[in-house]
Amino acid sequence: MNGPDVITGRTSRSVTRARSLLAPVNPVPGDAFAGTWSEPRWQAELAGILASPRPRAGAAAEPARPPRRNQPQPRRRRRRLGLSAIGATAAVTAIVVFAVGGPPPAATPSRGPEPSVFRWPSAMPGAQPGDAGPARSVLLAVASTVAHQPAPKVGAYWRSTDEYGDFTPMGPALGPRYMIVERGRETEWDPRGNSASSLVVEQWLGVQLASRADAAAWRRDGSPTTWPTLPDVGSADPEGYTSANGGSTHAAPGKPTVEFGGSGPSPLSYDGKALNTLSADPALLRGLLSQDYRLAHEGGGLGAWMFENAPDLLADPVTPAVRSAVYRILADLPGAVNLGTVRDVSGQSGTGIALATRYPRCLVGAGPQDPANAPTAPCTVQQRLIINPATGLPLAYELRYVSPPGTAHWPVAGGLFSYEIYQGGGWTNQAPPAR
Amino acid sequence: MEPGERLTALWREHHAAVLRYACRRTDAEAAQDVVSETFMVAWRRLPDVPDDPAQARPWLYAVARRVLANSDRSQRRSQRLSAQLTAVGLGAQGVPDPADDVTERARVRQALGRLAERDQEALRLVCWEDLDLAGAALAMGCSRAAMAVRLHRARRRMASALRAADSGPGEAADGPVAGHESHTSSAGRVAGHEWA
Repeated sequence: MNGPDVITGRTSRSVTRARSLLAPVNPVPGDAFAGTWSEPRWQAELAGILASPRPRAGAAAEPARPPRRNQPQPRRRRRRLGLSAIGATAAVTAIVVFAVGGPPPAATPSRGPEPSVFRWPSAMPGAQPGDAGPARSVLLAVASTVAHQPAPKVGAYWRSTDEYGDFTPMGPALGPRYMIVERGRETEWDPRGNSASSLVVEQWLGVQLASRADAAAWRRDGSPTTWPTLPDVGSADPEGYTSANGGSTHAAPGKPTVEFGGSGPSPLSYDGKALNTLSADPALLRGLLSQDYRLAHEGGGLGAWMFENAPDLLADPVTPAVRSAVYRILADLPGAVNLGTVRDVSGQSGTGIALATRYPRCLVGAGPQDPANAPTAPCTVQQRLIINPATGLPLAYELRYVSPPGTAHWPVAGGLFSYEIYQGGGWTNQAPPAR
Repeated sequence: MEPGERLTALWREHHAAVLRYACRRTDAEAAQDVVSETFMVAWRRLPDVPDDPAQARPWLYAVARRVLANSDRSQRRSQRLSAQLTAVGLGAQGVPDPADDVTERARVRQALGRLAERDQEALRLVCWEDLDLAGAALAMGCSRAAMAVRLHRARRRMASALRAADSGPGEAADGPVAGHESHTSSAGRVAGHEWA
């Protein structure tokens, strides 16, 4: 696949940075074993290989590609990775705590401002739209609308902002539990070409309590404003991702911090050219996502994988043709339903497209245990993508439990456990904030 | 070129690199088995080995990777190794370092060790094996474009893991903390410095 070198151009810069970081922890220097091949024992080894039989020409060769690792490598969706690897996965772990009642870490009561109560928009939660028919026709209509949009005028930076929230149960093991919402915002500045580094402005927006009842339970728990973060034990859930343990969650919002962007739009879509060239053809784009899927070994199947990748592709600086192709891929997904007009948690209304997927291995055990041996049970998760049908841009992406694993009850309306609000992206000639 | 000559040439050209590759992923004893097995596979599949040396090496890595994955024994060793690597204070190659560097290395190792295997491999291939995107893609059995995305995600997770590593116990007392410790400005500065 020979795309334009915007891909390599972008990546080579980031590779340089990654190399300077990882080189000091390379356990084997780059020049090690230079003459080893000629040592007697290795010469004997080579002789043994050369003496062994080779298949005759034309005999069936072994498969040319290494097979997938037999270990599932669940992967989280991209946008939130840079933000809340701990917080985002806590919801998955936390469900376990409800199910099993294992000992959670003790919260530290401390003084601080009381978290506010999460504001559900009107007509939320619970108003399940009635006419959930197949999504194909609405998706094809959007694909067609989008394809005819003019390409945006490219600027110096692609700037995009996302806000996310993750529902996480907290509180004592045996006493009243309550649900908090861990929230953050991320603004990415990605330069066109190689003129500058990409930056990401991260802001912790603080914790909210999911409802008034949760606020009451929180007060009974001593009104803590700091919680130890539950260890993440990994999971087969679509959000499952084995990440760092430890750390704390603080109720108070933080200041924006400017960091080097180990983030940014997918290199695929960088400059709005590469993805266009590579894959404005839905079949090619689908092939690309399929390749990635094969190695990701998702428990939810290829369809769920395609759906999971769509929101970020749609939010990236891709051309109208590529955005249209994404919609055509979604239109072909079996099981995708049209929820009609729905609202996201910020109150924006748009067209809701959903896909429910049964994941065979969702965690039902809590605590710092070996992910490989953690007890699991099937669960069903609905991915929900809310779009602006006129522009084809994503408004929000939500994850909801249709049925949580085991006997757990998920006490958030609509089964919601994670959301992401796309607050818009576009090219700008403004300068990014200084680091 | 006659098959024996061809394999011997591959051996001379890539043996050290494959041995390094294996030693970075398992212990020395298992690594030797991996190297032998890898070249044995190359011998049996000689027509499949790319002629271009820039492609032959990643092709051999891909085989070595499969050999590693197929060996339960080496998997267990690899886990042990990564436990060692993530142990705090372990200096690379036993060379004494200024205290700061040791801490810093331990932190980076720890963060790397916390990533999914696939992410670790993407980073190792480009950072330690010095492969470019095309080579890494070949070694991981995916397209170059898919590799670009994978690497991008791996870097992002690495940055995230580093920030999380910064939020270890004891730092919370250092003045006001902004939300998730992984989002504190001090953590951000360190991670930002690392990646800049």
